[in-house]
Amino acid sequence: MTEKEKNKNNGGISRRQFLKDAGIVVGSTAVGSAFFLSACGQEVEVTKTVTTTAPGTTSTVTTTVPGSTVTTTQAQTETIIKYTCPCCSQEFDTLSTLKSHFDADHDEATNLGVLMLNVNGVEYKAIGVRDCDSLLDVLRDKLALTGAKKACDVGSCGACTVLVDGKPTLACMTLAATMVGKNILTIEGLANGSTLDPVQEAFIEKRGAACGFCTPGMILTTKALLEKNPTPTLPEIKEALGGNICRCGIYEHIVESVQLASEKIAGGV
Amino acid sequence: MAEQYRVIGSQKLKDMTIFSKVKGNTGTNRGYSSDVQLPGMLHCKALRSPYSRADILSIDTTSAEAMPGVHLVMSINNYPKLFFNQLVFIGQEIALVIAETEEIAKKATRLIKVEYDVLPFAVEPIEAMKPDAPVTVPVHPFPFLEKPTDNPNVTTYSYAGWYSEPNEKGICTKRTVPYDYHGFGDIEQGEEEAEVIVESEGFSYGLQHASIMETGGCVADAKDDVVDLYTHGYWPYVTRYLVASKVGIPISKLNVINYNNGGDFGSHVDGGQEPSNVGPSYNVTMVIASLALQRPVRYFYTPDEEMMYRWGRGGCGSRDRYGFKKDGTLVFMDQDFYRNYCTGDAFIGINFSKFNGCSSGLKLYAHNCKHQKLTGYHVYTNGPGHTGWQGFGCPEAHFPVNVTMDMAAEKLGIDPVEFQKINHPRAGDHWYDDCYGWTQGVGHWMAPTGMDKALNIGAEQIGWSSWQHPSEKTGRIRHGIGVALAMQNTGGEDLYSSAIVSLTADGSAILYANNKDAGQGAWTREKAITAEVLGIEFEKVQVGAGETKHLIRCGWQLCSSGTLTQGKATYDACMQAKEKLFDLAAPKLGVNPEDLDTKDGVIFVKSDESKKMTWGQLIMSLGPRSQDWDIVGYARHQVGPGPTPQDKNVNFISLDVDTETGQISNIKCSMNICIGKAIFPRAVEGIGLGVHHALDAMVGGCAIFDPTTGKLLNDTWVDYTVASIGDSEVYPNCIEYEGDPTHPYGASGCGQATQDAVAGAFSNALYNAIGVRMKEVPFTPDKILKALGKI
Repeated sequence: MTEKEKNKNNGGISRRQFLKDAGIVVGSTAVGSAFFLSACGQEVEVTKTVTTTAPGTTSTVTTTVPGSTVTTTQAQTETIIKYTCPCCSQEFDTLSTLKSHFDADHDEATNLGVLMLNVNGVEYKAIGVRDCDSLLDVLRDKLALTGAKKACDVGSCGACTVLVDGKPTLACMTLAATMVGKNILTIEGLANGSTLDPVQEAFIEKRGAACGFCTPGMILTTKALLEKNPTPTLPEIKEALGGNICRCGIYEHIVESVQLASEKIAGGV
Repeated sequence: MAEQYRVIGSQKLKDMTIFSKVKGNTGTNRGYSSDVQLPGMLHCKALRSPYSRADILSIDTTSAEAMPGVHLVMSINNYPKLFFNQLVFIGQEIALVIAETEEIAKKATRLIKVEYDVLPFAVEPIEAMKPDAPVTVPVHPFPFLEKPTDNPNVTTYSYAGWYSEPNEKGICTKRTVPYDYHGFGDIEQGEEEAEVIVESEGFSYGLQHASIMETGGCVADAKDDVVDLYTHGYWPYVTRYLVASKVGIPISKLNVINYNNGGDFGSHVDGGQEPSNVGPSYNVTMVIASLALQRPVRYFYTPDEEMMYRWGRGGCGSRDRYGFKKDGTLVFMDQDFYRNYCTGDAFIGINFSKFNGCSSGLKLYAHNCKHQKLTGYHVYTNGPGHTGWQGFGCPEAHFPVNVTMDMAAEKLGIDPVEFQKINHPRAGDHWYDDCYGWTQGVGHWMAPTGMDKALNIGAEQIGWSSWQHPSEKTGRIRHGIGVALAMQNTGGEDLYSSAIVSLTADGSAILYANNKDAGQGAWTREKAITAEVLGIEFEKVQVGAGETKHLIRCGWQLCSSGTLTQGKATYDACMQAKEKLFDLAAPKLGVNPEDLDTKDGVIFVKSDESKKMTWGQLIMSLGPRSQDWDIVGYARHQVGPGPTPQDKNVNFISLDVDTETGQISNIKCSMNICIGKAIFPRAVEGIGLGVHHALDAMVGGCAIFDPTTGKLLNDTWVDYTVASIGDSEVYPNCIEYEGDPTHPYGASGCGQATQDAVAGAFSNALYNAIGVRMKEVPFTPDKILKALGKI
């Protein structure tokens, strides 16, 4: 018997489908696993149960040929697939409906309670931080330090840049929970009372900000650059700031601001 | 000789908004609206359409409403006037959940059950234009602005105008509306008069995302029946009117608070009906929610939600046929242009069609063009939420024009820069534009343009003397240079603005002018004008702006109009206050008012400066306890018939093309802004530097869709390429010239035309490098290699 003829006789289930549900024997139940990614980013394993009806179950299929009606009776098997929620054992017909249920009812992040963060030299007590919270969200929503901005939220624009132990860091891509014991500097911590940092002064003098949304990130990246390399060349400035996007496009004014800041710092200001 | 000014025009002017920006603008609710935090604030999340085109058959929000922490669920079930059951793009809002936290709101949206009837769609305009295309947008947002065609997805502009009855200067005095196209003269006669014909067709410009970092949204805070609305956008008073009228509350009960914008460029123009005209507005819905719940409510789009909206550009087809004399003089322009309109847009509506005319003989080439025919088409697609932004249709309309003119220069054997000098607009040329609604678009002519000077300066800066024809280029890396012009109206759209200035006893002044500053330097510009007119130091002026409730209505900070409308209003208000000062002081000093002047808070007799009194002495002499009195000036200004300054520039681009890889590198742009007089030069340069985000689109920053679902594939900045600091170099130049009568300092407007000439100059530079006309933006390596026959 050819493959095609076999397929014709088994009620339309293809060999591919059969192999996909490997381990299934007609007339029995097989249990396997399936996975999905929850909304909180967890990989969740669920139980997948495939049940086929026993042989001998019949159903009638009527086929009409032009000019006559021919009735054939075929043995049909029925395959039932169920996905079981690992939390409440509720069963679902499709993986996507189980995922929706899981995301709505069970997808809880772990609450870390109180997180101690050193920001701008101050020990903050952030309450209600979850394991999946970004440093950016904690700074803005828990500590009311809104200087770091949320623009792309995928680490591609630099508007959320803060300094962690002196290093430019994308706060939107950093888990707050990993920041315990670190020294975090945000734009709010740069000035000393009414005395601005030379980098801030330079950006004012050279108008290195238009709408200003990228400015905190630009200034902090510049701060880190000049501490590491006080007299950067133009290519070095562009490389250092290559990860900070300005959608107003005033890049040339930003470069001039960095160059002036370098002069100010070199001059001992 | 140019007049010397004390304050305006100085490179040392400090932007008054920058002090808080370098500190992150933090710790205050008078900064960016996305930073606003209020006690007891609730949060909103949206359920959005997963389909490009579908009808909602039913929607069940009961499970979401029952979730602990949810305060309100808004949908077509309970707010039928705010939601639609015909979904026309992926991301369109279906329901809004307001809850204690964002997490609760987000989870609750997943509990909303929706039954859809999924329908066929067309997300690319070329698909929507096919005869058998599905109907993309069943209900058009502004049907009265459209004339239908045979294809339900394609319309023309119902207010196209025909200009006629020229006066002795050759400027038409009558406009007939409606007409099938914009135009004047007689194209057939033009065909007979022309000695050389140049034709082109098939230019296209990909959809581009508006250049903003702060996502759209608002915080609405109702206390009893009075609402503070923290939002952003260029026109707070339009927002106030539209939101109040849609919500059904008095305008006087709504205070729109808008101190800073994280970018705008006109993209938040949908001030009450954003994000597009086919969905609810976050401003309207959150005001309704806050009034109902009596708590502040916050609704800001996430970055990926923002990518579902605020798309612009999108030219999808063109046909250009121009006629010239052999000496290069333009005779006629016959143009068709198709625009990708997506699902329609917000308040501005199909008015984009009028902007097609900016690059035509109606305006940019008005000097010689005697016969003009321009037909603009709008193609509705199931693309993402559309908005006008910086250019408002002009960048894609300028593209085929700027390239066709370059083709003409080549055919006529004339250097492209010299060719532009023959045909560019200049003082006295007509200006036909229905943006000046109350004048019907007639009665305007051009003020000096400065374009000759801009062409000369830009040519030298870019190294035009090294120009070679592409046939002379050899080697793997080919260098090319190109030039293009841009022009767009300024101060039109019936815009007016107002100002009040208060002179105080200590010789300082407070200007009340709530004309939006979104980073373009508007408030500093007004501060400078005030200081200049009143003769006081820049730092002695304070600008009152940011909230509508304390300030009279000021104009839209749109359409490059701030300098012209607000600037003139500020000037006039200051002049009025000064007149009052002199009227009061004159009898006390024993002279006539016209004999007086003032400097640094001291009024003096011009012929004898020893005769003087301070503002304080004058004010205190006015009454027994008058030390806190002030002297006030008020003015309102609207552009009338007569000369118009326009927003104009000349763009030179140079680049290198690797003919083996198709890569473009070493991009340089000389951006010459014909400003007349730069009141705040550093800000004008900043506006010119905005060319960086036009250069985005040239090399790849355009929408890419999954053809099977219509879903945007590059919906983050990882995949949607935006310009970074090292991608190109831009040299902005303020081109100053004298003789512009439209502003007391001869200052023109600038802003939106920044984007207009880039595609043309870029394509012309590519042609100069590789000898092939590139007609599709973006100019990606595969297209270049294909054009070179390498693949």
